[in-house]
Amino acid sequence: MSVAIRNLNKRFFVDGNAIPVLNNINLEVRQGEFITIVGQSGCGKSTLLKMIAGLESITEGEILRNGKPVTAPGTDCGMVFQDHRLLPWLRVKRNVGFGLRCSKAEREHIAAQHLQLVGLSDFANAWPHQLSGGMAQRAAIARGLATNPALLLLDEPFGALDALTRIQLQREVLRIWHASGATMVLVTHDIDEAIFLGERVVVMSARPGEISEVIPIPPGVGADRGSLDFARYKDRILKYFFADEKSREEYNI
Amino acid sequence: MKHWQKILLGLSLPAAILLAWWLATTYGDIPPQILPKPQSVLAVYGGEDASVLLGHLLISLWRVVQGFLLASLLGVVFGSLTGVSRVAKSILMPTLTAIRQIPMIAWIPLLILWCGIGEASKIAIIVLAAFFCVFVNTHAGIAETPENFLEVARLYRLSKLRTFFGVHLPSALPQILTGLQLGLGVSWMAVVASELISATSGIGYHMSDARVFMRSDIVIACMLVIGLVGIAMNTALALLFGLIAPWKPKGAHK
Repeated sequence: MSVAIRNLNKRFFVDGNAIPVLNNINLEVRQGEFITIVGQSGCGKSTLLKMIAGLESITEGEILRNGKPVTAPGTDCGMVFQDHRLLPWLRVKRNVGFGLRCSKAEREHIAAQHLQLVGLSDFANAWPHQLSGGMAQRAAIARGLATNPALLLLDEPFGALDALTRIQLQREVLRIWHASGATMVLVTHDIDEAIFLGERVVVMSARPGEISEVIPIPPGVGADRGSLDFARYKDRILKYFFADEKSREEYNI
Repeated sequence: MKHWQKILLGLSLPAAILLAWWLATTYGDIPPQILPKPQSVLAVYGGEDASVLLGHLLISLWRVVQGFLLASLLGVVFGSLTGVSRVAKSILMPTLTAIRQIPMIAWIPLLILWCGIGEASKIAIIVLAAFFCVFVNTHAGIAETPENFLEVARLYRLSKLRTFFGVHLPSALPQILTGLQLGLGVSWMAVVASELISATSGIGYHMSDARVFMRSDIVIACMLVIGLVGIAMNTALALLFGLIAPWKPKGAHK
């Protein structure tokens, strides 16, 4: 699914005062592309994602999914939240199948398939509170994928995880992306993650949220976190957040 | 502290009271109409007295069952309505909050005028008393459904009805169950209170009847039964809720 964001503005109203959140956002996401959006907390990147999902209203401008304006959530668009948001009263397999509208047998079959995809087959009958943070997030990703969405929006899905689990899940998301061919938009504050996963990295500034630059990451660069190219891209992105030279990470070549 | 030590310490106070009671009534100069011997209270639980007491107890329990079920149904329905709908809340809340300030006992005279002293007035008292426990807790539980979960429901385009039964209701269930538990306790108190004031049957009536005949042994025997039944109902409901809401971590229903 392609996404087109045109002249988008978003304001929140607090006590009658308009607070600008997003300012003049323009972005085209190609069919099957993996886009990452990186920015500080409060830059409106999560709000942008919710607007693409149809969960948040648009103040001005428009968002098109496959050429059609977004007015409400659609079944072909999935979302994974920062907090896993598994429903505590449903077993893991029922959570994974939550968005599906089909017969019970089919739902169980699809849920089992996606639990296998994220390596949670043994926990199909567990309650969410019995899962670790990483496992719960896997289950949430399985739920996001179960409806086979053409567009998957990921809102800092690994933010609450430890570094090792995070890297592991990043790899799995890449693998799933290759396998499914879905369009992915991932929001993060982790620059490494943005470079590792994204074909293009959208750098956003805060208050009001604006796009500073869209940086294409050439194939192969993201794969090796230790490479010089990776460090260069990281440095380039860091410059947007740390204007003064001293606080910037230095790389001696 | 070990488990058996806790139990032992917990039992020590009732044992001391029982001992003091026995000493006072055996060696002291207390008339049995004022304070009977422990063994004469115990004797009420055997023979003819017991079957009379059991008969009255069953009548009271049946009133509680009817009144509590009706109050629960009304409480859950109205609490759900005010919990999901702002319009319903604006219409119902002020009136219900005002009515709630009237103590349950203060309704008894009016209800006797309206319904007499038969079953209807007893059940009406229970409904009035238990309804607010269930209603207030259901309302709070439904209204406080986390926005995060509702967002997931919107993302997957659940209908309003499915969102209510799939998200609001299970999310509020622990609090609804708390309301039901409180409501059942209040129902039991309400039925005894209303029977004490005016009735021709039931355990409360049995007590006030025994008082007329200076049978303090029966009065105390009834009080003990009332306490034990209250504990039993509370425990039974807590166990039942463990089965209804198995996703809650252990100990959540205590």
